[in-house]
Amino acid sequence: MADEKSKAIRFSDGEFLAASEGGEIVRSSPTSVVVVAGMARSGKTTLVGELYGLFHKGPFAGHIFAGSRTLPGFERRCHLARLCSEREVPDTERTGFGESHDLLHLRLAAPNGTRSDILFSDIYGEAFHIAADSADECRKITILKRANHVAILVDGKKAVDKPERQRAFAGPDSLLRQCLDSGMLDINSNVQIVLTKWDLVAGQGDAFINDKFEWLIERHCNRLATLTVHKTALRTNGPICAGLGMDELLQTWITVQSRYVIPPTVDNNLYHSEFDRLDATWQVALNRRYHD
Amino acid sequence: MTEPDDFQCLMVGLPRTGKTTFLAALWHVVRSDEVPDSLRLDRLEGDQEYLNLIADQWSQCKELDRTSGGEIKVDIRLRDPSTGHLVRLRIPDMSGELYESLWQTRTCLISFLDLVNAVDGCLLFVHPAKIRETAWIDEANATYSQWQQENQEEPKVETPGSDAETTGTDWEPRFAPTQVQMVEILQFLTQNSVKQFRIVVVISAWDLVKELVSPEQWLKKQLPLLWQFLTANTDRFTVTYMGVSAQGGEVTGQNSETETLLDHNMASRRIRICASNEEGNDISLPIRWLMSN
Repeated sequence: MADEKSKAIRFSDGEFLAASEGGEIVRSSPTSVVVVAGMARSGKTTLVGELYGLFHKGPFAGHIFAGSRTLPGFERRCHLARLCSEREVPDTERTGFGESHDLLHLRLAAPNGTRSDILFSDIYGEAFHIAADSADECRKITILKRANHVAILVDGKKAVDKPERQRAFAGPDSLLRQCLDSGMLDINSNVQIVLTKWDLVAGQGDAFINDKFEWLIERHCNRLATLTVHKTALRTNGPICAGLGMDELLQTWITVQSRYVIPPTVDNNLYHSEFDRLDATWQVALNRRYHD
Repeated sequence: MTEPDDFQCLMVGLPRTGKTTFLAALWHVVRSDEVPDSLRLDRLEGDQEYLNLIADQWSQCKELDRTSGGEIKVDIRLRDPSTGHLVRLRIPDMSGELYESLWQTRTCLISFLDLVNAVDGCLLFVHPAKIRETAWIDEANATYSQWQQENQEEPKVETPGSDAETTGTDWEPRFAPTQVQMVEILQFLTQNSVKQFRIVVVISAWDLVKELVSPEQWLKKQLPLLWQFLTANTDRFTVTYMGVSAQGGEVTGQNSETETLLDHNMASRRIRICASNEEGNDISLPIRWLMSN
């Protein structure tokens, strides 16, 4: 008996959650599954890591931090933006190929005590390059079908760079089109087009960016449940503070809006999460595994 | 003869956060009868060698030896003078490295989890001078730029592809901010238990906090992630916040106040406790709060 007591037990490494662990969370509380998609170096990992980082400074977007099962995963992703990395310029650790479909977990609480879980899928950028080019490859990203929200990122630095700016929007457009045509997204899907790095490019190319946002909405809004556009600054730069635009985006993820809006608003039409649909999907998968 | 009720208390805190100093001052107060409303030693039981050793060091205003090697069992038979209630306080002195290791290696002994499951209340220690903050490069750069502008210095020119952009140290768990480590430790403690935890957040060395703020306001400002976590999970935690200066002031270094602290005729008078609605010298107050319904 004494030997049993002196045995060590090991907790999960907290780097990420497997899909089955994500399923446990979905079944236990209202959960949003958010897939963050975008081309390589568009800021996917930074978006998720910095959102977590905002809660290090205090409550954000009317919510408080209520826990996470992937604290080491978040910490590793934020490391290169911290002074302890001994860098002078902030950066983000790139998502590796083997980390596709890993989930990061954040639990938040509203002022009335209601808790919401968010599961983020942190997907290798190259996978989306390939998916944009091939319907078969796109269908392999199965988490798209399970997601409550798909945030497609537009690299802000490229969006204001004349040689690059058409491609900056064409890439997300191709990806969205591919996801819709291959059936990975449909009329029940909620999509956000998110311009990143606004802290670096604010005031530049506004007219072009707004035109492109409208172009994307016109092309795709009729095939989706919601399509919203967002400009975000994840890091402090001059007068722009980290978190600009993230409050609206977070509200969108926590609630599910009924229709697209330009620009997004946060205080109208609150709808129930689609976690039931997701839960059912995973429940079927779990039942199948159990009966097999 | 009435048998006391057992009360299992767990002191939780990273290394050098004041757990042993708290215990030493508590032992002095309960056996000295110097503080009118404090819990009192009912009678001596078992072995008091360790408690006497640390209380001797405390009475001389010495920095206490750190607890090493995991856990030192401490049982104290106490009486509440206001109610006559007898209680056997089981309050092991846990090494801070044990909690640090929980975060860094993500392992613990089964015996520790058994202890957690038997716990009636927790003292969660935070030391104002032992905090690893969440320090962001962009915020530091913004502060530096502002300083340059105010002092009319030439801004440093960044060279694309310079070493500053490409080098850096790899992540290690020890780099994690204190508030992240504390949140994870609490998540581990509650993970295998369904009970609601009564917690006193003890901000030790409260004499170092110069602002006129309550202990909760201080935690909310200095460790906002930890404060949010405790506030959000009211179904798991019943929490109160107390500032505790067990030594009463600095006892080492250039700013040592040892001479003044030793002037007190009753050593308990140098202790300072700051709770939400009272201040005083009764270092048994956190324990009394844990024991209250």
